[in-house]
Amino acid sequence: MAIYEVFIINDPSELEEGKEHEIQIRDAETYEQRIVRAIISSSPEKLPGADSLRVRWQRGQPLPSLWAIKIIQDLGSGIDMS
Amino acid sequence: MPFPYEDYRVFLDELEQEGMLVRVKKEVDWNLEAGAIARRIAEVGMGRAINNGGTPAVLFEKIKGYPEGFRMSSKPIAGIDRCAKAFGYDYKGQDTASVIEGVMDVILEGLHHPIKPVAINPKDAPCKQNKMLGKDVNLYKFPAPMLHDGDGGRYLNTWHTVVTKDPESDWVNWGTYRSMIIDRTHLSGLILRGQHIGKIYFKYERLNQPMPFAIAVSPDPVSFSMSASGIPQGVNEVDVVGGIHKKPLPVVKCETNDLLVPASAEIVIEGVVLPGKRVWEGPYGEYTGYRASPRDKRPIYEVHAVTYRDNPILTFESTGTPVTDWGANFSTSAMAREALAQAGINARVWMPSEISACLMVVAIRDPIPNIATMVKNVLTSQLGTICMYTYKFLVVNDDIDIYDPTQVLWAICSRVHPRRGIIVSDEMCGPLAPFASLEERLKMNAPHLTFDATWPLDWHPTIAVPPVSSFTSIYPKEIQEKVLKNWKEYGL
Repeated sequence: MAIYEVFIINDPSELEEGKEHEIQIRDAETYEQRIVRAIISSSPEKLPGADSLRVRWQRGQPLPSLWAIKIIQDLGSGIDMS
Repeated sequence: MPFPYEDYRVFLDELEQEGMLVRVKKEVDWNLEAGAIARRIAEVGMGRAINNGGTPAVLFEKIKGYPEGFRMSSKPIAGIDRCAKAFGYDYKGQDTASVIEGVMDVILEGLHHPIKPVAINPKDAPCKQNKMLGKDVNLYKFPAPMLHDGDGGRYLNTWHTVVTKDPESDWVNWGTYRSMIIDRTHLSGLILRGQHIGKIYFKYERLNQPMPFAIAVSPDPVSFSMSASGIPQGVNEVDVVGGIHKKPLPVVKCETNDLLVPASAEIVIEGVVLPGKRVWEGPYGEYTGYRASPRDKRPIYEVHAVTYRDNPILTFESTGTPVTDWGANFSTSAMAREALAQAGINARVWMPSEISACLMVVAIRDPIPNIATMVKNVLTSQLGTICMYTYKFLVVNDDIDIYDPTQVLWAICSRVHPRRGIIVSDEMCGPLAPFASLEERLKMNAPHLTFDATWPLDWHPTIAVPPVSSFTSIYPKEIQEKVLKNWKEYGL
């Protein structure tokens, strides 16, 4: 099971739970940034078999518990969308 | 090999011969471990000389997940002795004040007598031994470290020089600006309007043109120090390097643009900074000792070519709480001393490494009315970018040892009048300032403090100014001499 990370700016409510959407994440081992279409949840039991998602504040501090992420499609590093 | 150290490896060999470098043969992980080791080296050594409890520079020879020969190093000039050595200053047997002032004299000599670089044949340039061009470029080929847990990415560039050229003049800027890997062929990093690279980049962006760049990772130590310094806008740092070395620095033309880079650099990354495009960058644990500036959208470096030496050494700086490094402190203090001298203010200047460049201390030889405000005005106008990094100025009389942090703290607490001795001014401020609010960071404008610790000029020097109670000032000379002569006999 892979671990990914995502940064939030002000509040976890910025993250859209339960529905497929585009989100920028990074691989927690290689730190490579990706834009993906995914479904995320703060309650991992709602996404059985999904990968883990560590949420960090904008200055890098992690939230205490892991979320879950189910990646539907990898859309690249996001450079073309910048 | 004698000074100048035009080649980073020659400098490291010299450090090793003098017991100032440790080769770590045990495998280390680029993911946090290497950064943690370097951070602890900084916090244990506190910038002291090796023979005074300091810690060494480090060369990591085996990196997890990377082939043999791909190495990392850190802290090459993070001790006062190593930094003095890098500038060719004979520090042995000298006290701290003499070393600091001596190195600053060397830097100013280079500023006053610059020597332009010499371009060499690419076939003779060590940095051209290996090449990745176009679609073969892969920044992950190098062990770019994850330096602090929670940083925005792998910061490939933290001990380097970024070369850019002003489109409207012959000014070529060498500066040190952090950047992290986005993907195999892209980086992103801080490019701010107040920085010299920002002044150049935003000219290109206004014209919707990409800005050519070259990043030389692990250049010679003087090139790095000058890149991290407050050398005035319009002055080519590479010429000052030549002046310090007393000979032209060998440079070589890039593969994909006309910029010139140090020929002995370990890794050279070339490309363009794209106009009008931004990507999320940061956060990053900075030299202030905090990870203060939040994640934000920053310019994109598109990499077109990478050249590198055989068995390349990727040098990194694990920035954080004091003492991180000495290179920028020497060079910025020298520039400040020069700026004040040109304004007719005779002063000693020091930006203490123990305070991470947040404070600049100025000791005035000949005070005049409002000298503290005048000092602040000269420095913020002549060294425009200084406000982005230095938030406090302390002006003292010349009896204070500005190179001793204890004396600096004593001067602030004992001589600054709480009402008339504190001057608040609004200045340009970088987003790294820990105390600044989010709004102040976004606007890059926050209050700065100037502490006036000089005795009021209308105080009678004998009757009103309090005499200092110290061994050298409050005892007759004959008593001082007697005590010093009998010190060992006292059993002390």
